[in-house]
Amino acid sequence: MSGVSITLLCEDSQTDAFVRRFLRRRNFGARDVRTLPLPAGRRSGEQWVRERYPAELQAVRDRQDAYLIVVTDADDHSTNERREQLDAECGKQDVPVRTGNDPVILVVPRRNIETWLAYLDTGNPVDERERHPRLKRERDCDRHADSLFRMCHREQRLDEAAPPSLREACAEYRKLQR
Amino acid sequence: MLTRLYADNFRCLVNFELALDETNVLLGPNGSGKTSVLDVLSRMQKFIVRGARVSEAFPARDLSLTQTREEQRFELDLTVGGDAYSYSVGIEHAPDRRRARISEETLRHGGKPIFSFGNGVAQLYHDDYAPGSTTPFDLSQSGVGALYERHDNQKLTRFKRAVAGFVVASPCPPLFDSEARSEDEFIEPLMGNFVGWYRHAAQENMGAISRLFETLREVLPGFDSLNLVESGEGVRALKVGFRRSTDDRQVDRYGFDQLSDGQRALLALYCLIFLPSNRRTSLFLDEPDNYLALREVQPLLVHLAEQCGDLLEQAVIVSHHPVTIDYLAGAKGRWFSRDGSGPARVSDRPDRTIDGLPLSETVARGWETP
Repeated sequence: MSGVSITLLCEDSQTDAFVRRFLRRRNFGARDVRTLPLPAGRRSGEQWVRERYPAELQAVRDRQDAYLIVVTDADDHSTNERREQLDAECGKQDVPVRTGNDPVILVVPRRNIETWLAYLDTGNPVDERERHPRLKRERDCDRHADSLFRMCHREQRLDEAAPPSLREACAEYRKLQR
Repeated sequence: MLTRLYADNFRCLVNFELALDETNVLLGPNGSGKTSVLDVLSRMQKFIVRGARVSEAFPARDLSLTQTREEQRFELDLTVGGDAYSYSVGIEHAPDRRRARISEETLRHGGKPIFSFGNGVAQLYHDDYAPGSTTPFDLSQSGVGALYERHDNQKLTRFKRAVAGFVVASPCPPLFDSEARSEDEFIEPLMGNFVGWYRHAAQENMGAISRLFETLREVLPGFDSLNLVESGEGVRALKVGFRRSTDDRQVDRYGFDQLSDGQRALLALYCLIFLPSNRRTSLFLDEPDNYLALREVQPLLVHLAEQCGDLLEQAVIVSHHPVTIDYLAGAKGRWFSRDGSGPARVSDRPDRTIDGLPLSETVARGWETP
């Protein structure tokens, strides 16, 4: 029996629901993806992800048949700043930073996953600095996942209006081989 | 979907109210009232749609020990196809606690009564809310349950179908029979009659079998198929086919009782999710993650959550499992607690969380309470 193919480190259950629905369309089933414990507490989900990241990065390096997908919101920062913060945390925990050879997909929605959902909802441009409302039900993201999958796979390109952080994420996503 | 339950004077549930969403996990120490909530639902179903008399569904031994009152009250709020239903029943036990009677029973649709009973008389209504006839009624039986479907009581009928769609179960695989003499519409509380239920459900939903098998092949390595084979007059035994290896076409058929408890639990749980009855199913499962290998818990939760709104109306589970707590409790938890042997209380968040600790670890240390 093989182990999970993807370990998912993310900030909240909405992100988990969206990523799983997207990956399901790529034939990664419920048993192929393991979501790490979701944060609960006053501290931000971002801090939770950042502090767990080095250990998970190290763990996935020991396996050749698995990926780590990290999804952390940019919030008020740029996507590069978030990546640098993750690298800095690796430095703090004495773990070598991610290289191009690591099976790690680092996804930074800006401002957060709701920004992407707002864009995927209508296809209209969105301001990544603004806050967008949460979906009423997490499962309503199914059609958003379908839209993104259509762009990534069937059309092989994002629509013109796609927010920059989503474009960066798609470039990262190309690492995922199966 | 059940959106609210109210129970008063039932075991540790005193003036107790629980709000529910499409997916929830009920958490809390042993004896904090989680299973009592599921018992209320099971009994309400027996009372409203399965013809149980009030003293059978709600015997006096379940009156709260902390109360001296003989009255009980139960309320259910449901949304069915976007419509809001409110049901309530009041029960009076005799002082000697040997008899019980219904003091009041009401069903409302969109806030307007569509059935009411009090003082031994039932007021019936038409679907346009116009009052129909009044009639003396049995004090020991649900009037809503006793009414047959008619062309002008479709609203009431839809409510009964929604309650009939409650599946309340605590899977206990060592008690599962491996064969069935009958087709069972309702699953027993410990799912001992799972094979009889499967016989019925598979017959009713032949179109759903391929999706069920596809999912079982994903979650149960080597799984091939389920078969009901004749095993005596009118008796069917459940056989489970497994491929010897991924490349091997040879299928070995095992008796259901030859599988491990964990395999039987997995099979039964996925059948509950993927073999819905004609009415929409609301699953209320007590510790479904018992018996499962660690690897199988999160996929089960993912499937449960994903099927809500599709095959399932709702999924509410009771759990103490760390994987379940870490995956669901932060956003979907209902936290039960009791002060000593006092009444159960519930909140949609724990009293405390500890930054940097997984929620399951906080619970394991008992630090979720002050």
